[in-house]
This record gives sequence, C-alpha cells and structure tokens, in this order.
Amino acid sequence: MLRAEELTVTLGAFTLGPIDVDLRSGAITCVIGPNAAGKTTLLGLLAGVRRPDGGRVLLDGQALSTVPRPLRARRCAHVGHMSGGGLMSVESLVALGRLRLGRDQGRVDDSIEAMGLRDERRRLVSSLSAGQQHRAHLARAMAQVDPTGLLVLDEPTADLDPDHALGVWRLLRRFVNGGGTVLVSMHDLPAAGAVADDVWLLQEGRLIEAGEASTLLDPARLESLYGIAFARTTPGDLPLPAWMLEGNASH
Amino acid sequence: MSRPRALGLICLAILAVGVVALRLFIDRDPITGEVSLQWAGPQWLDLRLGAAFAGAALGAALAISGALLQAALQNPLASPSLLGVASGAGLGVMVVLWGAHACAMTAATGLLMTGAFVGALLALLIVLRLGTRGGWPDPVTTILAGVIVSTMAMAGIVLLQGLVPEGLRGRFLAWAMGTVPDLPSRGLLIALGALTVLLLLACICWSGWLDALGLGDVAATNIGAHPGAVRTACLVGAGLLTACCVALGGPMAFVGLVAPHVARLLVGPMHRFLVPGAALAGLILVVGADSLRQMIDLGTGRLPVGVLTTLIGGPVFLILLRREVHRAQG
Repeated sequence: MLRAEELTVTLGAFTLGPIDVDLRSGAITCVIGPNAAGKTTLLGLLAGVRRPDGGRVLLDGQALSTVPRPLRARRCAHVGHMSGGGLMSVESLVALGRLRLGRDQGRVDDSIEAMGLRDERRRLVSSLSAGQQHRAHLARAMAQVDPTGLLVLDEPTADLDPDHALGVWRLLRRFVNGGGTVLVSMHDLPAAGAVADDVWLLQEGRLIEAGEASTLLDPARLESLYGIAFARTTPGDLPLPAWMLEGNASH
Repeated sequence: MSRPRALGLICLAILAVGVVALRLFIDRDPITGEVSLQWAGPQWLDLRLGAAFAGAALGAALAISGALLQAALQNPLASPSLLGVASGAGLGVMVVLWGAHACAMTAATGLLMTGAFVGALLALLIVLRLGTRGGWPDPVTTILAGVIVSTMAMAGIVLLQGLVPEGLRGRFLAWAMGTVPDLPSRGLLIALGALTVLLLLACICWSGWLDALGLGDVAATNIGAHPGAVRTACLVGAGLLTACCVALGGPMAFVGLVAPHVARLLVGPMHRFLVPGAALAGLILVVGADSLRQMIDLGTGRLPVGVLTTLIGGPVFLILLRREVHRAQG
C-alpha cells in the first residue's frame, strides 16, 4: 500500500536516504535504529507530513503529494512524538481527526473507549499524564483512519505503562487483522520482537535492511546497528512482561 | 452546545446588550458638560447610536483580530499591536500631519483616516513578507518581523514629531490613545461592521481549521488541514480588521489581547464558541469604557477610551496571568 522511491531529505548536516522500500500491507512493521538514525524523519516523510527533497512516496499506487488531503487523512493517520492540542478536551481532540471526513460520533466514542479514556473524555489534554495524552492522540488517529488504512506511529508506547502498552499492541493487532497496516518506530527491542511482523533497520539515515522480524532481530545484526553486544534472553533472566516472552502475544 | 459554554455565551450576550443600552442612555452635554442619563431626544439619538455602533464594531473587531492572531501564531500574548499594524497606522497619521503642515494646510479627519489605513496595510504587507518561511507565514518569524516593523514605525513617528509644531503633536497623541468617535465615518463603519460580521461567520463555519492549528503543523497536516493557508488567512483577516479599527478610532490597547482570554475562561478554547465569545467580550469592554468615560470629568474634556480600556484591561490581564501561573503550578 505504501512505497518509497529514492526518498531523500537533508536537515542541516544530516541526510536521510536515498531510501527505496515497500511497506507490507496487513502487517506491523517496526523501524528500529539508534538515536538520530532518522526514524522520526522517515515516518514523517512516509505519512506525508514532511516534504522530501527528492524521490517520492506512493500511497495505493498514487504519488502521495497528489493525493487530496481528505483522502490522505482517511488512508493514513500519523501520530508524532510531539503533538499539541493541550488546551482542548480529549473528546474535542479525537473529534478533530474527523475534520475533513465528516462527523462520526460513533467512531469518536469507540476510539476513546478503545484507548481507555472514557472517564477522561471531558478533561483538558494538558491535564492528563504523558501516557494518557499519547493515548488521546492515538484515539484521534484511530477515529481518523479507514479500517484498511495505514497507521504511522512514532514510538507509540514510549510513555505507556506495560498494561496500557499491551492494550495498544492488541488494538494495533486487531487493526491489522481487520485489513489495516501499521508502521511504528520504537527503541524497545523485546517489544519489537514480540509484536513486529517486519522490521526496518535504520542507521545514520540509511536503510540497512528490511525484512521479517524473526530473521532480522538477531544479536549480530543488532550489535552492528547499535555498537553494543546483544544476547538472547530466556524466561527468568529479565523481569519482562510475560506477553513479550510468548512471541506474538498481541495476536 | 454544552451547558457551561451556552451559559457563558448567554451571559456575555446579556451584558453586551446591557452596555449598548447604557451607552444609548448616557451622554455628556457638549455645552454644559453635565452627564445626562436619559433617553436621547431625536437631535442626539443619531450621535449616541453612531457612538454605540462604532464602539461595538471596534470592540468586536479588535477581539476577533486578537483571537485569530492567538490561533495563528499559537501564542497567548499575540494581539493586534503585535503585527506592527497599529504602529504603521500611527506613522501614516504622522506622515499626513507632517505633510499637511509642510503644505501649510490642515489635515482633515478623513485624510488622517486614509493615512492610518494605508500605513496599517503597508505594515501588514511588510510583516507578512518578512515573516514567510518556506512559502507560508512562520509564527516566530512573523512575531519578530512585527516587533521590528513596529519599532521602526515608532522611530519614524518620533522623528516626524520633531518636525511638526506642538499643537499637531497633541493631535497625534489624542489619536494615539484611541477613541470611539461620536461621528464615525459612515463608510468606514459599514466596512468595519461588514468585515467583522463576515469574519465572525467564517470563524464559526471553519472553526475546526482554527482548532487544528492547536495540534501543531504536523498533526494538523495529517488530519487534512492546511496550516500554512489557514495561518495566512488568519493574519490577513486580523490585519485588515485592525487596519479598519485604527483608521476609525486609533489604536486601542489590551482589547485584542484580553477579550479572547476572558472568552476562553467563559466558553472554553474551541473556536466555534471562543470567537463569538471574544467578540462579545471586546464589545462589552469598549462600549463599557466609552460609557464610563462619559461620567469622568478631569476638567480637560473626556478621557480617550484607550486610557480606560488599558486601565481596565491591564489589571484583568494580570489577574488572568496569575490564575494561569497558579493553575500551571497545580
């Protein structure tokens, strides 16, 4: 559903790309890599919220820059790490996801419910915890995107406790099972191993490898990517949430 | 509409009707200087109606302008004076006064209004041009450009003040404090009223686009909004409203800054309610101050409305600021 061709952008001394990659439909794909590898920039380019200097992104076979804004909003929802909306209520924020798509109170209510924010729906976003704020923005994206659309999420569980993180992954897995596609960036490698179908390895603005998570998340590749040693864990070594050690527990 | 928002809007609307009615009853006799509190006879009714409508239009327009600027620049301190429009208008007025003096003429009020309007528009165009980054207005660059244009215009005003006699300086100072004209230019008043109503309706119809700016440009773009275009429309609309206001009544401090904050407290942050609420709050502040000044006699004629809006608006703004600080500290 999404394809990048010769995608490049330069931000000061940093250059991302050129990147050629196909995003697999109906899968959760994790972009991993060290800080300043270009994960947030890449996600912004693929979601159409940032303009590339060169190359193009194809959404459903059409150049993303030519896709009308309402259709783009419907097919691809993006949640960045620094989102505003602090002065509005949770319900108003989530309803804004439908700005160009027509009011749909049912979708808004369902998204708020799915993110566990029913009791907070009238509260100002700025009065919520960081994790609750992030869930409010995820609810906005869920209210916005088509069931067969694409969710692009920058570190969606970075501020969440393990319980709510599992809730989000289960929701994303349900979204994928319903025909949707998910592209996320994250630093939590055990969680990536537990939830990702595909993985993209990004380093210093270059896409090193893209493929199945079970193949690419091995200690040697990660050592090369991050420059530190990695070892496989066995149950009991680390106090990880049980679902992470059970493979794709979010299925 | 939720109950608290509706209640807030209704309270503001009742207060607005009240102050306009008060302004129609209250006046100062231009000959005896005595305050009268009675329904005007036919010979005075037109004057009071003109002043009431001018005050209402000025207050509502400045408040809408402030609300648009605060949304566009995502800055709670944004106000019509921030764009350099008022200072540009002041320079325009000063240029007219200086030009008339150099030609040994007396500048008519209409000419001063024209000078103010042209100066305001020029300042707006320069700020918009300088504040553009990547094809669209950038909030931080626009604010910086506004401050610089405003400072340069003020320097020009001071320079020209040195070139005109004291009497003309006094005329400029009277204009610079802002006033509600008893005999407003009918054409300008109609233009300001029409523009105010038009922008108010546009803000209500497209309120979601203004709300979207609060998400930041990335999220706003993702939900299908066009932050650059919305920001440009807001700046141009606010600039035109301010230009009409300063041409009609001179610069009036604090109205555009305080009114949106008062409305935010009473009707919430969503622009569908915030913009009408701000318009009503601005109307109440200006017409209320205009009514109040009819009752104050310092022996030198009536005070300019701008003095009262500043004396009322300043403390109100400080109280709001303290509330925000306390709320932020939890």
